[in-house]
Amino acid sequence: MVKTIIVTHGNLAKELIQTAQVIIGDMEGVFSVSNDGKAPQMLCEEIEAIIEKHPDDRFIVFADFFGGSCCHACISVEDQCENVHLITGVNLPMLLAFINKRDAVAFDQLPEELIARGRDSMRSVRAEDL
Amino acid sequence: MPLCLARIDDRLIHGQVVLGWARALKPDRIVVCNDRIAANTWERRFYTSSVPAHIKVSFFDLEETARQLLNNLFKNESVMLLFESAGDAWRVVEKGVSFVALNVWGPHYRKGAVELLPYVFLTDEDRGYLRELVKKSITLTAQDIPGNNPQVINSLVV
Repeated sequence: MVKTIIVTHGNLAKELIQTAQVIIGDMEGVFSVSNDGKAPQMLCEEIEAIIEKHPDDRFIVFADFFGGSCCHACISVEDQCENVHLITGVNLPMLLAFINKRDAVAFDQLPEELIARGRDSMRSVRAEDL
Repeated sequence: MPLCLARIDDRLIHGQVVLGWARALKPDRIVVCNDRIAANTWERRFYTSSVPAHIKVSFFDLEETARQLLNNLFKNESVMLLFESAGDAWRVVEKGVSFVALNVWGPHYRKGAVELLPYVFLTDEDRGYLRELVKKSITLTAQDIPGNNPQVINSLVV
């Protein structure tokens, strides 16, 4: 099973997972990491420890946004690990799509698929245009 | 090189630096002073891409940092210097560079480090380097972003 680690500032990762569970039910292989108060090295080690515990699995790692310290740590991990794809700018539709698609879409196609779903949910909406 | 800020921050360029310090102090250039990053392509690209285009970004190893500061290069620019650790700042001071003040934020929590302030965790080694910086009459100020109050920590590290 493809697993995921969501890495964010504050409690966003944990809350995203809890919110997704409200919508979709219990999810296996979904982990959250916060950078709060952690040195960069320690943040990397925490992410790597989760990956090392699951040597037979592949991971989609989500970071909150491109350019922050969470993203920096995730790039270090991606650079070191074979079985990881990194996606930045995580949102709730992307996470829900991950749960639905993770075993239905080829691992290498997942990032593109999930980003498309995340982007598709961002719209300027006016009732009259629907 | 007129320094608008010299800061020790283990996250180097991140939100507090770009949105907090750079927005308030308007540097012409941010210089990341770090041996590893000066030699690492993806990290240089990553940090450059997180800074607004009107601010220049340079990456110097510590040797080059000392040379630039001692020779007063970039003399027409306002410069923000970033060090990853107290040890790195000390290695530049050791080469003859003097600072009036160093802003200290981090290092954040790592195993074996002891809390000095909620976001400053020191190993014995870090503390030793900070003590050396204090001996050079540098004012060490803990402050995350410009809007919050600075706290002088010289007496806490000696």
